Amino acid sequence: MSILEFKNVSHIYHSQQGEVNAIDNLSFACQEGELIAIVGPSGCGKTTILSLISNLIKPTSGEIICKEKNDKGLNIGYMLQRDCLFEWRTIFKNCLLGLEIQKNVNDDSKAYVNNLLEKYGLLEFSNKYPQELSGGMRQRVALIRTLATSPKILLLDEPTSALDYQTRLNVSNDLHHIITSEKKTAILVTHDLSEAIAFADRIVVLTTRPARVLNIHNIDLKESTPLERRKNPEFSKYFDKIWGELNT
Amino acid sequence: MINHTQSHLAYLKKEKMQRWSIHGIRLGILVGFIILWELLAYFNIIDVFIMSCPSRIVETLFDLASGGELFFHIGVTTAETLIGFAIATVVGTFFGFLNWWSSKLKKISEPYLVVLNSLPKIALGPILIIWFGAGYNSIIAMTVLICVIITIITVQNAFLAVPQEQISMMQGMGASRFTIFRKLIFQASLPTTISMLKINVGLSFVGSIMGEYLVSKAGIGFLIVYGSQIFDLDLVMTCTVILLILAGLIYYGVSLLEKFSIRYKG
Ligand SMILES: Nc1ncnc2c1ncn2[C@@H]1O[C@H](COP(=O)(O)OP(=O)(O)OP(=O)(O)O)[C@@H](O)[C@H]1O
Ligand SMILES: [Mg+2]
Repeated sequence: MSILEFKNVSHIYHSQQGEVNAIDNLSFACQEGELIAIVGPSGCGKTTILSLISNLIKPTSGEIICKEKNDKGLNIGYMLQRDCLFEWRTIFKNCLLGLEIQKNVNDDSKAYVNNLLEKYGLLEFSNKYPQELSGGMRQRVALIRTLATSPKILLLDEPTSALDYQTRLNVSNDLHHIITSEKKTAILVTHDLSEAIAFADRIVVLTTRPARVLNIHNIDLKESTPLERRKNPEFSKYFDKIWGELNT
Repeated sequence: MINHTQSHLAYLKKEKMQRWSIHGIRLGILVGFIILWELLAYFNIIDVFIMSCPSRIVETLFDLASGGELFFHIGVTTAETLIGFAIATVVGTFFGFLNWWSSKLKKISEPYLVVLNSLPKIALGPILIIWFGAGYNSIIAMTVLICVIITIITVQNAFLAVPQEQISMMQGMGASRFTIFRKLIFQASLPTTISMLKINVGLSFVGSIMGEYLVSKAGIGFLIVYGSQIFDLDLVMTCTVILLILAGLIYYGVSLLEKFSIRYKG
């Protein structure tokens, strides 16, 4: 049973400059516990897909079936391209934001956040402010803030794009570790193909705008972490194949 | 206690010397100016009748203070400034908030704000006197007029400058518009709001003195006008000095407020 399904979804943005056809007749499904990566050229409509899933915008036509979705989209955690940490809040308070909004701050939920911070090496920074943290740490805090409300589905929009290459590999590895150990379903959007292959169970390749599904690849790499998976000889085969597709 | 290296200690010492020398030079300039003024007056190089001099200013100050008048006039000006400041800040912030809430309202009000902002407010003085009478009300109205438009503009711009991405992040968590305002917009624009308050206190001061020039029967501005009418330059200069001191105190008060609000986070 799929946890999320796109059925012939199209989205058109209207503005003074005219209309932009961002997504055209897009269909795909995501199973529970799966890690899906969506790759596509810059500006093809990837962020739009996540905004649709999290109910920030409504599709122009088509249907998005999500059994976890309620009015407020509570069971979906959306991690945006930038970390969006609030500089005036401590790390701990930043992580509580979602719980505060949902009026769910109590001893249990606080303990859960503390537990996450501890597990992922951030507990000693609880009372620090975001500006004292490195880019990679900030991204992990952003993920913990997203996890704090216990969403079933995580949406990650290029979570590593603001980082330098080395940090990016490590953060991608950390995110993968956190998501798999918390047993979440995740949709990762990226234009870094190697990151997608190292991260995901399945890759949805999109065309240039308007985004349509070009192909869907199952990635069968046995290694459990992205850094390990990059060393698998199969890795470069996937890379070459999808790279070829993206550039036709 | 942190153990500093020799070179760091030397650096700290140099910085400290630097700070003291700056304070010293600042004070020196003031004292030098006062002494020079007094000497020029003493040797009749300048005419004390039109230039006054420090000793006569001090004398006038004591006269005013002993009669109790001084504190009455300072009180009047301060009250007008603070009341005008408070009204302008509250009203301006409220309309700034409305313009953030409704982009339609913002667009509608834009030309009005632009024109009113560049209008020299003193031109409205006669109208204010007719509407509010020749008293405190007109002065406060003048103060409010001077501050309120710029407050609206500053507040709405600060609110609208918050990145869309942060707003989307909160929407994604199911936050209502009002929650977004409370937890994000308000907090994010606090630094701008504080610096606006700083500018506003100064402007309110301008407004109340300007108002007093136009109508009043009391206040430091009134004393200056009165002094110039009876050609008592000692009084005019003394009041100008009082204004300088008040301006300094206001600045000091606001920076205390700023320090306090920076310490308060989240
Ligand atoms: N609010 C909007 N109004 C009008 N057009 C928009 C809006 N948001 C996005 N677009 C347009 O829709 C297209 C797809 O945007 P989207 O942000 O989904 O792309 P993306 O794949 O996430 O791009 P990137 O790789 O740069 O993050 C772009 O051409 C963009 O200009
Ligand atoms: Mg994007």
